[in-house]
Amino acid sequence: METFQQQEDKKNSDELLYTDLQVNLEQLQKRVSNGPDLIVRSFQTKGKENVSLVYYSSLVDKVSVNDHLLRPLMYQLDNTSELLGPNLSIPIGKVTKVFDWNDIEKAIFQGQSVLFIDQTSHALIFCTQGWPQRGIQEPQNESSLKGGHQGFVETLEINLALIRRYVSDDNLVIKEHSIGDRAESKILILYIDDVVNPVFVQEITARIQKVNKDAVLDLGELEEMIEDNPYTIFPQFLISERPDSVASNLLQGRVVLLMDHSPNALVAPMTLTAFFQSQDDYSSRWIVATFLRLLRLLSFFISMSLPALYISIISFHYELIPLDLMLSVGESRSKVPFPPILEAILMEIAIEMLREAGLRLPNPIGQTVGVVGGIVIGEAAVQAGIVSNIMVIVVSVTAIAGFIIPNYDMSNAVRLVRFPMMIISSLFGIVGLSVGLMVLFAHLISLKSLGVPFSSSFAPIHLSDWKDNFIRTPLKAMKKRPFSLKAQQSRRQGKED
Amino acid sequence: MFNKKFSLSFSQYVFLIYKTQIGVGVLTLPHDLFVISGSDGWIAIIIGWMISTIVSFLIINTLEKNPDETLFDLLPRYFGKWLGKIILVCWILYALFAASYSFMYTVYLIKVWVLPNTNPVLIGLLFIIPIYQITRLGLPMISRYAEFTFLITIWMYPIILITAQEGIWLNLMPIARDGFLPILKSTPVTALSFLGFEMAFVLYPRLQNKKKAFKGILLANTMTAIVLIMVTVLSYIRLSETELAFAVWPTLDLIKLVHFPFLERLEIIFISAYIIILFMSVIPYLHMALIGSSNLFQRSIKKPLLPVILTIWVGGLFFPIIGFQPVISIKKMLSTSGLIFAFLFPVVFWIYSKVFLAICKKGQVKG
Repeated sequence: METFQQQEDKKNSDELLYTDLQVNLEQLQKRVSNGPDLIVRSFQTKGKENVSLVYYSSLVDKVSVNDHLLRPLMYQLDNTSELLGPNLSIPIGKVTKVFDWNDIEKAIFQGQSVLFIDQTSHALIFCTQGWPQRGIQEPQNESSLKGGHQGFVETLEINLALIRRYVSDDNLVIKEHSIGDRAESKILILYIDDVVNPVFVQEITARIQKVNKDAVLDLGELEEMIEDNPYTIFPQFLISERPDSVASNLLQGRVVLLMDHSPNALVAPMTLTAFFQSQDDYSSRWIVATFLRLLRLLSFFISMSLPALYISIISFHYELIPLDLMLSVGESRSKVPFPPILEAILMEIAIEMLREAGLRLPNPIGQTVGVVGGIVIGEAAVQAGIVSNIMVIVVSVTAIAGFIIPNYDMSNAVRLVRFPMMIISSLFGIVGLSVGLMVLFAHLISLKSLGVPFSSSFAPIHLSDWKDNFIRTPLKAMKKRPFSLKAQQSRRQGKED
Repeated sequence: MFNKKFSLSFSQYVFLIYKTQIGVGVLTLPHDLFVISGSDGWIAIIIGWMISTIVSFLIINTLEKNPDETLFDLLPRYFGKWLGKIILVCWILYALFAASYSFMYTVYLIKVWVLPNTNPVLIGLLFIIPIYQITRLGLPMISRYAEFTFLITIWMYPIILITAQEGIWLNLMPIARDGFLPILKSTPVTALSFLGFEMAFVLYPRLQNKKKAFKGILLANTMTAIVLIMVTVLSYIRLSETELAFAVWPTLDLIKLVHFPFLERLEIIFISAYIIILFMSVIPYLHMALIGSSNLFQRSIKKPLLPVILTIWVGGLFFPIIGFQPVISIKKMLSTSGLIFAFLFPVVFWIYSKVFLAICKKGQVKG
């Protein structure tokens, strides 16, 4: 029986590099899958050393490998030890010396090149990554009229650069973590050291470290694993693809997560009202921005409860609306054979299907779907007597109201809440609607985002936060960071009192 | 916020007490007062307000000696193990009774005004969902919900005020036409509407800034008194004497008078929204009963007890306790028990605690 210590020693010695180049290369073949893009280039340097350069041709920048690595090695360098010395004679930024196979494997898979040298027990790793990437484009989900037009891309470095261009503060701290046992992904935690509440950083770091999964491919996946309550339909963190809105959140005292190969940033902690802010609000006139915010709030309620209200009035309390309106509603409903709830659900489902269909299709076909759906549902269904005119209006207004909510996740949540609301108000009328809203808000109030009450600013009430929540006061008046974030430096304008 | 013991902010404390007070009473108070003291009923509210404020002061004054303990912690210490437990059980029963009555009342109100054809059991089933959801999460949730309730129902005040437009203020004249005796007689009637300040017995230890405890309770009492006076005076100036004498819900009749060009029968919407306020008096009492029973058994029994209570409530709706006569007679019982527990008990307890502490001090000096 081997003792644990012996096993550990054996394991460690297995992980170390050998001195012989051939043995090392054999070992490499065992460890790294031998795909067609694995390049093992063995040659003699100018100083007559036997070396092998190993890399994945698909993951490296070929120009830098050929011109900046192979050429100096073959024709210029006398000794490989010079590579690490002060007179670094190759034009590559980062060179590291490693002894361990694990580091080598990781480096190769990340697109770095590894140089094995005969008769030494170390290898050198060169930063030569280069992979297919998309150019910076206008954000698709959160387009803006006045703000910046650059959106995040799939490369971590570029995303970091985009944020740094907004926040050039030396207190911007960036901490690196990695998750995923099988496919490792790099995660950066960004925060402004003297602003953020340290509790948030500790909390989110702890939650990231708890994630134990073989691969986390996107930030949305990570979000679900680190959020406070994964069983709710409401997003508790903001996923944004706009560097300016992320920078603004950083400056307010929030923590930002970036993840390699995800064109998004995750912002935490969030409050419900923060989901109704858009970066454009701050660059437009404050009166207009206030109007838009109130409009969003209104549309939040309309989108959740208008069909439910309509159903409850039609099926329970038709005495609520004036007689003339009642008559016209009655006339329009006279041909419809279904009860209002069925009619509403039919229409809602039709419109949800249209929406989903349009979303996944390429643009030109997507438009066709819109036209066909609009004509079929708007005109034919009414004429055929399947739905009433008023219901078409109600459903369309509801759908449009749903689109006004600036955040996609939030708008989806509201979209779904509509259905239970409709069902409950078809059973209990307007009492059902009011109890439904109570349950919904009780749920919202019970939620937390990174320990902060999700409903902060209206429950618990923080009147000072209202300046930037339901309305947008002139920037001059917004002297403090959001109270709910309990930032170390609460004042962001003027002098600390 | 972060794993610390939750503490109530000042506004949460005020809104929690205020929203507990506003509840069942407001809807019927003008009628109840009118029957006894005619159009002078609103003066009785002012007297009621003064009395509740004095009692509130005594409550805070008693608790100040032990700032971290609720009434339920103090009872066994002040009254000894057995007597303390008996009083504790009485308090639990009282809180439970108040909560149950408000619940039954809400079901009855909805049944009468909004959903006459729906089975009350179904209405009860609907109502226990939010009650369970909020009470389950304890004080942090309840206090936040109280704030939310205030915000979401703020539109009700202007709606009620609209009715002042065509009021005949002469109806209030002459003031004290039958002397002050009827006014004093009708004062106990207002007690029911002020019930809720005794919540301070359990809220005070959780309050963040204890110096403001009395100020908060005074503010809550005053807000309640203003709402009550507003409703009463408006009913007197808008509704006829016959209406006031026979209509049980004058406040709702008042709202019935409001018409908009796009909306008739405003009171249906008003009542449907009012249930959130009614629940805000059910939930604090329920919470009070739950922490009281946790004190009784020396461990948290909220989890098993809460569903049992709610099931009993719904089960109770199978029996014909929902009706006009039961609602009226149980209200009298609640009013009486409120007088005992919320008004009489604090005074007795205050005197007792003074005497008790004095004896203790003496004992210590001697010992």
